[in-house]
Amino acid sequence: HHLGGAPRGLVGNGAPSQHAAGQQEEFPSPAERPQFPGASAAFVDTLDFIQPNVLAGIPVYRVMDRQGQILNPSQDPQLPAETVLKLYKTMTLLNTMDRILYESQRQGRISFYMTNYGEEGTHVGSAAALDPTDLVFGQYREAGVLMYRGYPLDLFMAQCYGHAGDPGKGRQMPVHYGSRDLHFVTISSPLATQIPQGILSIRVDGNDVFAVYNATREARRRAVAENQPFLIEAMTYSRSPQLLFSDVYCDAPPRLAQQRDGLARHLRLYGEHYPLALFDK
Amino acid sequence: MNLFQSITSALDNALAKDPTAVIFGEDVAFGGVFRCTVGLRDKYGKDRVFNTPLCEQGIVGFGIGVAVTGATAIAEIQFADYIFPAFDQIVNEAAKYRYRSGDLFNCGSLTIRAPWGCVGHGALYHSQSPEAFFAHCPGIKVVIPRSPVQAKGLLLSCIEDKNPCIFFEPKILYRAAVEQVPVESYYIPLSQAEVLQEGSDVTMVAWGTQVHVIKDVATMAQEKLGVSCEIIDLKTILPWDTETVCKSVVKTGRLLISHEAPLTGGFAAEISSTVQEECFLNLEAPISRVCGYDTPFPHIFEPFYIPDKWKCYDALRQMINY
Repeated sequence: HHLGGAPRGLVGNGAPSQHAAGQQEEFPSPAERPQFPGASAAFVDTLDFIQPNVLAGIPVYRVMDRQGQILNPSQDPQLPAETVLKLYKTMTLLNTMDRILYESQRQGRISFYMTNYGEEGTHVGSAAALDPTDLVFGQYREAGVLMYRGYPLDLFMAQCYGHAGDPGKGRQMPVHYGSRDLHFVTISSPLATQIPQGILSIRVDGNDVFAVYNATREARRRAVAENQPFLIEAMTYSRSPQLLFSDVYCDAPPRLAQQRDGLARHLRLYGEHYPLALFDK
Repeated sequence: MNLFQSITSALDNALAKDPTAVIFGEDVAFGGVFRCTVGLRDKYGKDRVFNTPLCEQGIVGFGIGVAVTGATAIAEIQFADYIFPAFDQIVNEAAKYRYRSGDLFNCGSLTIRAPWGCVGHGALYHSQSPEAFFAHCPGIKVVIPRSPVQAKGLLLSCIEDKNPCIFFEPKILYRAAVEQVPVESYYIPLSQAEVLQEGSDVTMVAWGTQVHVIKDVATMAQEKLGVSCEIIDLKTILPWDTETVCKSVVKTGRLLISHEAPLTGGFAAEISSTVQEECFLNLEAPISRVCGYDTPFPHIFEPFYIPDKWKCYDALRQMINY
């Protein structure tokens, strides 16, 4: 689906002219459409209310299909088996830690928690593509980067509980981790304060760990070689549909948490059949 | 006719045949919010088709009284979501009338109709499927049609039936479902489930709108997995046709039940429990229930909440691979 016609802008004398960036992308087929929300790249001079599920002008780079099969063999990063295993184990461990700490927050044991659901591939794929000494400035869902680099579970816990073992000295709310040894700058709460403007960018399927790996490795190589910044927009499914499970009771019963996880698993396999594009971050 | 027209047709037949029959509820006089009673007041008069105040307890209480005198009472509750103020009247009065009076009195000529089920945008209070609350109440019957032809035949059977009946109408099908429906009266028996499609590998049971979902799933299962599904429309929730369902599960060994209503305490639980008692040694896999979540019915999240064909297909696939 795309906005009809070549976009035009009016020049001083009223004659229409082509807008330089006026091309819309065609999609190979409806089944291949990315499901991520995004803005149109072109100007139009007709008043046209856009359906909520109109798709982005920027295509989304991916390596694997939804069943984890590599689509184009030339894009396979051909990582050694032990690296792939480490990626998988880290993503799983992160997800498990999230469940436990999320429940802890709901039980009042810790005051606050932000899960990393949906971003596991992004954190771990990018961490694997960087050098271990590259300095990382996280937002607050990049715990997977720290975990990949070997930050121990004890210290994640220590920061969330604010106890004497916390290198951050208990000053910040949970999930505000940092580690000098692992070159991960301590997370701060204000958002979007450290993003530069006007740079080369790519959009990537953030759930596809190989796509994130490839994009990060290439961006790093070029950034170092060309001395300019690169933006990787890693798209992932918002967990907002999970909001349907909130506030049923004061404290969520275990069965409801299972159902919530069941929906998350279902969306990973069958997400293309759902209006996920409506659920922006 | 579409579904609401088949309801109108049934009501027309009932009022024509039975001079004591009356229709009442909120806004039924002008034709009803879903047009189910259009034209009936003009045809039968204001003494037989009339509005009530906004009071569900009163609608059902009044209906019980009408029925006790021997007249045929057809009450409308505007949305099933609003039936709860009448719950006490239904459970403690209507359902127990014959029993508590030693059959001296009854309100068997009472039928309560209500729009039911998800509609795409109904949210908490225009989407509910409350059949499970009433399934727990001996003395009433609960019936849910899947289509216009079924609706007319089942509604006429409910009106004829000598027990108080609740008839839930899938509102999403009111306009969307269209069939050739006979103009004259006909009756479809209550408490008889129907096998819509025979199969050998899996039994799938549903009612109302969800029957159409499992039909799609059966097609997908055949195409993608080579699996042959037997599809059953339960139709009557109470008293339900255990024999048809159990006979099917003895044959296939696998059962999937699906409903929009929340999983816990939903009617699938009753079916599942009975089937494992009757067919334990025939089962090849645990019985699967694909239902709404244990939450209120959400608005914007409806597409994620409902037990759609993908969830049913996935559950079926897991059952086959058990």
